[in-house]
Amino acid sequence: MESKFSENTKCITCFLPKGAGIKLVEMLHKEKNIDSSNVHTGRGLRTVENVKDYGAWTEQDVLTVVVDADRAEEIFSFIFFQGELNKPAGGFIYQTSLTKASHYSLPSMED
Amino acid sequence: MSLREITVLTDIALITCIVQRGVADTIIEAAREAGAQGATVHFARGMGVRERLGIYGVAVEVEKEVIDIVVSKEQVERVFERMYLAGNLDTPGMGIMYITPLDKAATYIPTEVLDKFAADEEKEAKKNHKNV
Repeated sequence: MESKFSENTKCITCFLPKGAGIKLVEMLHKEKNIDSSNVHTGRGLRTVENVKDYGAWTEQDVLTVVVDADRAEEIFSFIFFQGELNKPAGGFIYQTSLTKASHYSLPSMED
Repeated sequence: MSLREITVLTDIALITCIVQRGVADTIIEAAREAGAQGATVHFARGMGVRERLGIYGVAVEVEKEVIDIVVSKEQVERVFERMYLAGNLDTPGMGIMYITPLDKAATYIPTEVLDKFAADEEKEAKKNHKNV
């Protein structure tokens, strides 16, 4: 029987401006075949780039994606560029190693 | 620098702190004083000590705030300790916090900051070359 768990997985988390999370979920699904990613919202205090930013809270989306280690680099770059994290006030992305993760797959339409 | 390059940050850690609703701002202020650059907060619902405290559990808020702060490994102990003290996490029911090591991270880094690092590295390399 195929194992229900993966042991070589990474969790990619990304803090994004409000509204950007759902767009990325759709893009990951359409372009990278990733069926499971999560978005929740929060408030964020970002790195102070000018006096105006000091103490300013903004609404944020937090995107979490669990991927196999061999795809982590590809997905990390995809989110970084498609989420425009390479631009000012774009957000922040990080990756952690997971000890174990369950598989998530959608049932086929015939089932 | 090409726009398609990622400047990867390593030697960093994530501090996560789960506290009762309304306490996060005090803890974040302490973290910033200790050198943290930013923070993200979201709400959650928690259970645990509240149920164990019986009637006294009403004093513990069910709604929680979860604080995420990314800091360098150099800073992590200092920021963690300051947050712990600011949140009175040594008091039962106040919350928990933990550190997760990160593989890597990335964000927008202004060109002038990158240039400064490149210049410093070059200077260091020259100094080492002279010493050899």
